[in-house]
Amino acid sequence: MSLHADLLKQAHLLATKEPRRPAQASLRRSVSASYYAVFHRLVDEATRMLISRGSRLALRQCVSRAFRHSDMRDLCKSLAGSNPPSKLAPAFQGLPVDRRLVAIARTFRDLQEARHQADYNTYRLFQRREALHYHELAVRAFEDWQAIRRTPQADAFLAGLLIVKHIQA
Amino acid sequence: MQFANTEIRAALDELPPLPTAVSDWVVETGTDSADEPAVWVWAVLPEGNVDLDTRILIRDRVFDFIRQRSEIPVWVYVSFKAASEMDDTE
Repeated sequence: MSLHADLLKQAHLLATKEPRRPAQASLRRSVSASYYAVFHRLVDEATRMLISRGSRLALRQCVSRAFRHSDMRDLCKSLAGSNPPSKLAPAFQGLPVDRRLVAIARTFRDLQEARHQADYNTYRLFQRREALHYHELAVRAFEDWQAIRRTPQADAFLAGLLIVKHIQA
Repeated sequence: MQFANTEIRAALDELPPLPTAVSDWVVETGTDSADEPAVWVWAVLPEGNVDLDTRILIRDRVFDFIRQRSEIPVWVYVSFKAASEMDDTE
């Protein structure tokens, strides 16, 4: 099973680990796992698209280390408003951003912030319901991605996750 | 932040009807982990078990509603709590 699929499964297991009184540590790690499930899914898809020749696993692994959370967040911020960033707009060919891609972008940023809160904000208490909500959002993001992957907009999104900051204006 | 928690809270009462009842809204403003202006909204649901499609619909409506009224681009984080969980927020 892939890392992202394992993380998605782990997020649910952690959110439901203690049947009666869930431990904050379990819920926080669950939220984190939901975020990283989506993060690694997108990075995996992007590196497979960008390096499509066979037997290039080591190279793909190197390239996967180049993805920056902040750059991915910024791209998602643009797409969540239903607009691609201007530097990437030509790749969207003037078409409206697919609503499922908008949903993925919103979920990515929501999960990233939730992960930050879960990992660093010890004043905030997480409920099991919240951890399960974030897990469900991650599952939906996987489903939405499956529906749009390999479309021109999905490919533009994947490339943009890595390169949008480097495109000359 | 260009408008206060209380103003956002009051504006949320003007939302068009939602697919499920929201008994209250809890609003906080500040900067998020990216050091950008953000609004956190908790929708308090009388019925705790609301399906994901409905939660996503509420998230998106609240997200668009607040952003359309904001002078600067804020990110809106929408979370959900059951009324019975409100005492455990912090």
